[in-house]
Amino acid sequence: MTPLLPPGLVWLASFPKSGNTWMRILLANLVDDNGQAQNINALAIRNGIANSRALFDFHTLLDSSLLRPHEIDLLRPTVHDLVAEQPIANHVVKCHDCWRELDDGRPVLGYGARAAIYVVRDPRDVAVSLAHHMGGTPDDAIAVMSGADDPVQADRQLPYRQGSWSRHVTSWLDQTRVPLLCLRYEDLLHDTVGCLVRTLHFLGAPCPPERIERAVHHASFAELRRQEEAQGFRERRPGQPFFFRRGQAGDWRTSLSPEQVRAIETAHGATMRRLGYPLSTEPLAHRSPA
Amino acid sequence: MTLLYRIAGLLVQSSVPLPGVAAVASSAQPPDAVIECAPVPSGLADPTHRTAAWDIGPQQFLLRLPDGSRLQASNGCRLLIQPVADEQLADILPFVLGTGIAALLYQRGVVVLHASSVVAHGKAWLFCGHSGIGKSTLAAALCRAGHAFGGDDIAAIRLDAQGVPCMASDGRQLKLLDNSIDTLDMGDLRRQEVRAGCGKHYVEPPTESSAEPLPLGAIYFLEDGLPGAPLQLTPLGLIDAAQSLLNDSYRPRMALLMTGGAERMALTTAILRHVPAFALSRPRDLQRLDATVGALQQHWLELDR
Repeated sequence: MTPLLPPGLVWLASFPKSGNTWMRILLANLVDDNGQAQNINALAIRNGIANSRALFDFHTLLDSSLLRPHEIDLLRPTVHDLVAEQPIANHVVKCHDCWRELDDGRPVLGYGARAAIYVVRDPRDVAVSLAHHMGGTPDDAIAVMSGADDPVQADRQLPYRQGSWSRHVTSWLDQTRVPLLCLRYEDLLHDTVGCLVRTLHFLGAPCPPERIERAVHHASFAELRRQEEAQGFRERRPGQPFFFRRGQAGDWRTSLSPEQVRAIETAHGATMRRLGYPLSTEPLAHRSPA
Repeated sequence: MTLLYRIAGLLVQSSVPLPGVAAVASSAQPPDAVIECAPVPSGLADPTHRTAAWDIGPQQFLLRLPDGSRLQASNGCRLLIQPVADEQLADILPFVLGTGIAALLYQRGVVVLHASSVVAHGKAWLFCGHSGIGKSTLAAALCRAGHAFGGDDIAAIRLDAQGVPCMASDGRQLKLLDNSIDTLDMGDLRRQEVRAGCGKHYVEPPTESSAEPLPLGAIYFLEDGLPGAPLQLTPLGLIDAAQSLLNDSYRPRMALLMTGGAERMALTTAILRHVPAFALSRPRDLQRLDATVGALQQHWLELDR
């Protein structure tokens, strides 16, 4: 079967809890159009994550669990470039790293990617979703989103740099190494087909409309939730009732206190405006649609 | 200074003390391999494969570490170490004992699996899987349950005179994260940190390891079960088992580049002719280790009938 996407590594990047998984499932249903919904635990797009310990160890021949974060950083560009050279069909790789360059100018993510899709979500909804995912409070999530640039110790993967929500977003939007398509999660919810059409055009992968519509149907929130209830989901954290929780936009209006909203908008207001997210403090008449 | 160690079936003579491995008092036999500090070139003269981090050539392996230190394994019998500075030597020895030793073993035609192991019913039972899957913790839990320690991280498999695959004895200690050590209540066996800041400590095995090679009982490929799913032991067919053996070789890229395809196939076939392989899917939960231990003990009784 001819791969849908042209060859070459594509980063699917986002701050955590911003829609990366749903986008990956949509793409998996697009590339493997076999008439059935993709199994959420065995997706056709299964290329791991940028901070994959297994891939790093495979290419460096080192035990990464014995390396320090700055040593891992020094080796990551080489690893990513080696991975980018692999002839992998539909080579889309999840990434939660912020875009960053080492002191010697090398991008941590290497030079080999041909494109990046960046999925962004209203940080107020990110806070709600992140709190549920962490099993913590919105205040805990807001603190994570305002976090410093210390390495994040990911569960059984390499430590990586996430930065604050604003830094994460602007680092990707402002980098000039990799052609980038930025998609808002809210737009993806509102017009999934339209966003996928844009994505496929960006990636150079024309696709008949009916195939896109099938993928959207097979990756609906109802389908994802049905599968998770039936068989579980690998990415659900222990103690978390469901990974696919609500799949909505605007949950923050009923889940965050005014103080929490203010904290987020104070920390991230400039980036929110840049992305077209109206602040709660702005007069209604001046708000543009989300 | 000359010290002797038993590592993955090799008698190793070293001019530097090696951490996390018990020294052998003496031996009448000559060493199989020598480890010493000496200049290491920046690269091999004629590598067959090269990346920014390492070179591979015929019976040669050279590793360049992030701090500028280098090590070189030659002909299955010589391992040279050049730390970037004398005081950095201790910092790079964990890589000497991991990747460096594996290179020697591959040069000697040994099958090297990324596996921990324990001994029961006179056999070695191997637990393979990627880093972080819980191989070492499971082996430690089985030792705490009374089984003899086999090895951690590397399992070196050789065919005996009758063509039966056997695991070589290994004098190295466990390497565990602090939360595993605490859950297993093995704090009194905790020794030095493997490498400053890595969060893993050497742990003296609670039971002694066998000095002699042992036939393999079974090979288990560890998998994470879905949240809430029960433990599952699934026999693997030949093709899946062979692929899993390759995937769970120690540093599989080294295995691919340092072992010929025909040789690797012959060794894999020989192993799987004698040794059953299973996928072991179990919950990622330190509090449920005892259930996994119990299931394995029951499985060994069934296999041993």
